Amino acid sequence: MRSTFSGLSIALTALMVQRRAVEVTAHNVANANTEGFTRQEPMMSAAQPSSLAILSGVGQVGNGVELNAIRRMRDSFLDRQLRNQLSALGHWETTRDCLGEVELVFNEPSNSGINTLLGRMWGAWQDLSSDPDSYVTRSAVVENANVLANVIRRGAAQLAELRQEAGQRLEIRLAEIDGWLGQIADLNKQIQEVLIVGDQANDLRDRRDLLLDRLARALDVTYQETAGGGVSVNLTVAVETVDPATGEVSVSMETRALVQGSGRSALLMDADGILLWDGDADSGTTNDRAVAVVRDGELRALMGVRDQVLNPENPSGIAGQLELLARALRDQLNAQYAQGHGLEVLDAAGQPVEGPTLFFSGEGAADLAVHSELVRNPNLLRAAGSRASVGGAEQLYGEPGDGGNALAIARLQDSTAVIADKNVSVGDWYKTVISQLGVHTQSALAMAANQSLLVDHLSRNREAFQGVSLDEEAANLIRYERAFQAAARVMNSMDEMIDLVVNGLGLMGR
Amino acid sequence: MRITQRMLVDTVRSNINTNAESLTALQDQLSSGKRLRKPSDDPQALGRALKLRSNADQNAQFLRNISSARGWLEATDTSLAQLSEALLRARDLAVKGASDTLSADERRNLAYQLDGMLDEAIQCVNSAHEGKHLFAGRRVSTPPFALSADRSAVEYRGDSGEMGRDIASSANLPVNVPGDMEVEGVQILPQALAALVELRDRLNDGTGVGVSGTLDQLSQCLEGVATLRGTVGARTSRLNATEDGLDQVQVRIATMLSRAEDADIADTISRLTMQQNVFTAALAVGARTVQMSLLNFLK
Repeated sequence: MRSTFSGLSIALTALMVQRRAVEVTAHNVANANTEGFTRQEPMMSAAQPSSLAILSGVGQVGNGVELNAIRRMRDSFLDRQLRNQLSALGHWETTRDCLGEVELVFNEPSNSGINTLLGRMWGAWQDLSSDPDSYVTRSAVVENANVLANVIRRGAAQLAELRQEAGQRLEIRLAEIDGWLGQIADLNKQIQEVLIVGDQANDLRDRRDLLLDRLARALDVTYQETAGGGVSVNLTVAVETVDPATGEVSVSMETRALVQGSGRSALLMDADGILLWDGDADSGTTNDRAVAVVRDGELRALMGVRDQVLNPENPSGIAGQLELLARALRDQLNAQYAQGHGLEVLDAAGQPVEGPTLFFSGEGAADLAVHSELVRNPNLLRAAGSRASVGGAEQLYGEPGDGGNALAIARLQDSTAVIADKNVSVGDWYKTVISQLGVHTQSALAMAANQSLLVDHLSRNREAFQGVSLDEEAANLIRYERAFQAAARVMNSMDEMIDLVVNGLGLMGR
Repeated sequence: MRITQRMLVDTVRSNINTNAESLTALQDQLSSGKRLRKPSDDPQALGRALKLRSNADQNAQFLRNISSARGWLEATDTSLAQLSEALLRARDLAVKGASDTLSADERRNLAYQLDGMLDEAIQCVNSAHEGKHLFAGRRVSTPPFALSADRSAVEYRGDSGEMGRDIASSANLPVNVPGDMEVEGVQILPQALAALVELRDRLNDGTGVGVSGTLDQLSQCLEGVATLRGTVGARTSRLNATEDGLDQVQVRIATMLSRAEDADIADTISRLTMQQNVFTAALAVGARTVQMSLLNFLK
């Protein structure tokens, strides 16, 4: 025979479980707008039934309901899918933004960009060849060339600034990543402690998943769930081992952990801007260097912008191409310029002087300028093609009507030089380079837009699974509330029946 | 598929944003009149546009050069015409001077007139255009022909340099006639001046001997000057033809540039109107869907 009050205890389990279910619903509703929240579902199952020998033949008798677990409705596959695409999104959005800024440096097409100013300079040389002894045309050449040099210098300076900014954003991101890794390690520890006691760590897991989302956007880490509830976050590194005997460097690709359990490593940037994985002392001898291999994410984009696009020593990036432009212009023009002769100019002592043999001074794009002596005295400009002869004696200067060298310089507009192993005129090189920049930027825009659509789609899929639907929770509320009401009724009727037994039995005729 | 409130709101928000982006881009095009504001708007069109702009600028330079060349050529032709006239008058004098009926005094009188004509002729060949001597070759700051102090000879102090203008890519048109330019092996201008000097001297000695000899010289020089004028005329024709061609090319370039860079206003306006409608519809639908909820219907 079962206990008198066993019916009551069955109703009691119902009351407790249904109320707990309502609390879970309340938690969901309260967190409907929380970022990264995963809805929780109460998992009920029938309580362990009892087998009664006395009532054999009836079978097992139920014992009510129990709450097994509060299940976190999360699909780790959807998470993985989304995080892979988040890396690509981070990469393309950052690239798009950076290239967008780079594009604006050149201000093309316009009347004040390098394309037009280059043409104006060649035109000024043409005017000089028509009127070689006029101070006005000489000054115009110096002026137009100076304006061109200014714009090139300013372009180089702005690109250098953008490069520095990329470096700073990289550092800021690394600091953030460091914070996230630390938090993930902490959460691993906390979740482990909770699991040991036998509880579920739903909300802690939510926080950890949010951090993993942010991390995925920044760089392409891989992660794995480990036994004990932890997540290990890994990165591919290229380990450079120096053989102490021969000094040879061998490189092997390995996977190293950024977070393992409650322990973590660091990602550092060395003085050359290379990303290094800095782990524990057991990573090898001090000759080893583990270079982080980042193939996707915001870090990849920022490093690409800093090291390729805006690096003046890289001939396939825009900064390097501007550098080549400045040098080719300077060399081509100076080479022809040196072959000419200026007007008759006397120094303070009355002796004839020749001006400098260089028109453009400077090492590269950052310091390109018209030679200062020519700015001071444009009469020194070597417009003449040959020397004048006075009474058969060759002079230092050319005839006042001789604009042969100026004409030759003006014609450089259409003549080719060797720039980056191609035979192309300086103007055409510039046009090609700017068009390429436009193509890269346009493709980054398209990739970012596509990737954004894809991420939106996957996000929505994930949200569909794990998100809180207020309509659903409202329906659940009704469900649990009714069950609670019914259980209360059951308890009432059990109470009445027990009341009959307790207060009504054995009172015959009273 | 479960739909949560967040998904509804996110969908509405991202669609409205996408529409607003398109709207902004179209407004941008319309207000600036340009569809190519930066390289990424249309990289292929940009390449064409840059090339067209450079071509247009270069052609404008050639047109300026042509204008400058025309000035030189016209001035040269005018001076040569004046020289020609002076030579004709000198020849008339020579014809008169060759006559046997003249007295020595009359001949000396003619010589005196010729001296004046000599000065005139020298002034002609020393004339300048925009401050540069026309017939000095490249020594444009000094007068090319100088009469010696004793007026017995004319010296050419210029050089034989040609000065030209690029009227098309690497197409240089010479604009000057150097003082020592030869026609059939004869340096015409020095020869003409020498002939005048010779004639004056022949007339001066009163005898009339050798005067008729100078007639041939003068005739030859007149032909030479005519040839020089012909050369200048041919250059001018080439100039005019090139200029006409360039003017037409400039118009074509401007049209192509506009096609590459400018927005088609009519098309853009109609797209803008369409986009506005889409935007309005997105807003309206969003407003409705976001408000609906089961909670509205539960007691």
